[in-house]
Amino acid sequence: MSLRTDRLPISGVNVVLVTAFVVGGLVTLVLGHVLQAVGLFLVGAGGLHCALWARRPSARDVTRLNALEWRDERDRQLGKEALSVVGATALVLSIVELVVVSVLAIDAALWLAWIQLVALMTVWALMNSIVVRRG
Amino acid sequence: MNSKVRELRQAAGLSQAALGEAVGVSRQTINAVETGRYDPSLTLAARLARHFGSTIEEIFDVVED
Repeated sequence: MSLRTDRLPISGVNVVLVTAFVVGGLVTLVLGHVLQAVGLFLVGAGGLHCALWARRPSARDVTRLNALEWRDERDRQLGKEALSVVGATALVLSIVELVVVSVLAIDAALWLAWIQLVALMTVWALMNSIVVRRG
Repeated sequence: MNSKVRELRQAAGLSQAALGEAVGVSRQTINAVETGRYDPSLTLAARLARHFGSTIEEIFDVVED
């Protein structure tokens, strides 16, 4: 898997992510949820900025990994190593979420989804720092 | 894996960034190869060897465990 597409100003996966936030924001706006739409647009703009920042020739390796802007074979190897831990953590958290939602109420699902997302992002950032120091 | 990349690069008067640019990788990857923290792929090893007009065997030395 290669995240880098030299013809694009950002990687293919970041194009998908930014597009998802923009389209999601537009649909949310049409549905009349202005505050949520602004939130989605801001996150999308932030993601685009991070991707462009990581594409600079002088960008640090951990910056590229955090922004999913892999430049070469070492970035790919380290990125996959970090994401494999994120994948394993996601599996465990998903099982915990399923159990907790089953035991508690459905209303808890939204909060648990947010907690899961924040936990996964934290694990990802930590793993990126660890693999960059090691390799 | 031990390598002579740093030695050859310095002899050629190149910075890590310049060598990285020449062989298509980042400055950090050249640094990781030079310090033994990263074993390059066969493709990158061949590119480095070709760049220095040498062979992979002459540049890289596998350390047996």
